[in-house]
Amino acid sequence: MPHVPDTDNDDTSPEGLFAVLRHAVLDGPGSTPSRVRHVVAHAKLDEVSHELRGYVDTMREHAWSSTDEQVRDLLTVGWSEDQVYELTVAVALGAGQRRLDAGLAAITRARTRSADEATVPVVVPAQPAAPQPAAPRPDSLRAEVARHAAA
Amino acid sequence: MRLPSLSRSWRFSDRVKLKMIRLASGRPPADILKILHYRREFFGEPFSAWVHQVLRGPSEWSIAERELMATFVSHLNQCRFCEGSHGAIVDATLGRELTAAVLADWRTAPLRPALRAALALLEPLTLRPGDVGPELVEAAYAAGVTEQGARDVVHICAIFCTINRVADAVDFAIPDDKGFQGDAYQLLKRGYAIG
Repeated sequence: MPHVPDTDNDDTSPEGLFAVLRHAVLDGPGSTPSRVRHVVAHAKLDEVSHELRGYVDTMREHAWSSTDEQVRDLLTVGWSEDQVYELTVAVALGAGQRRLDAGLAAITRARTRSADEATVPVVVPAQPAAPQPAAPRPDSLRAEVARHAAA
Repeated sequence: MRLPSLSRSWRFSDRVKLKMIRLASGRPPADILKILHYRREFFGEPFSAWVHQVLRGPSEWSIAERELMATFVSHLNQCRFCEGSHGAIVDATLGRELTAAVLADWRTAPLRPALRAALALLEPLTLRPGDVGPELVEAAYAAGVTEQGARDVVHICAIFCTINRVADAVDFAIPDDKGFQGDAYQLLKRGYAIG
């Protein structure tokens, strides 16, 4: 489940701006069906068409190694440049969201752990009662008062 | 660029704007600008709004520190274009020696503890996001990072794990040092929003 909170009331927060971007890229008008953009963004490789699978995998895991040939192959089988662009952005955004979700989840877990530590009752092991100084006996108190009075 | 039509289909006002940039700088606009202005509602506008808020908006991290994180993530992703672009900003603000020291080994680079803790979080989040647990966040808190500061770090990682992939897939041309420095000056002056 995404850890991007509902930020309808704060469009300038980073989370809100990311949600706007995600909506534009995955659900906005485009030359590829929205469903296909969602599939590649989430790298559901078993649902991705055969010719796209290698490209999506490269983009997601090591985009630096992508090649002219990979893009040319997609154009050759009938994808337009505009469609390849949309799919490229969708895969890239999916990789970004994976980091966003993982990082925000770690922050949430850190907060939960901190709250748990704060609410755990402190159990003090039972200690033998420390010896108390003996209460002064009434007759010794009286002797003390008598000494002060005589001074 | 591998998708040449992305360099042609801009709205009229953007064509004028990019032409002005070419005239002012004496060289073609960077490929990133061409992409951001291509069907700008699809990606360029919402993406640059997010980037501008995270890299230039209010934060406990200085602009230079956020640019250093951007450079670091791009370096881990082996994206030469983004590493060079943002590294040039760090060179201009924190110094070339610090950029080199961080990219050589962030563990020994002369950094304040909070910034080092941010890089310690960024490394696995970029390379192995499934391995990131609360321990690294707690270590960052112990080094003085606030929860909002940690959120900013996570957003920087997400931004550059997105744009690094686009840059490499489309195969952005790599400017020379002078080109990177000119772009760095503009990014420091104007930020990222394309308006």
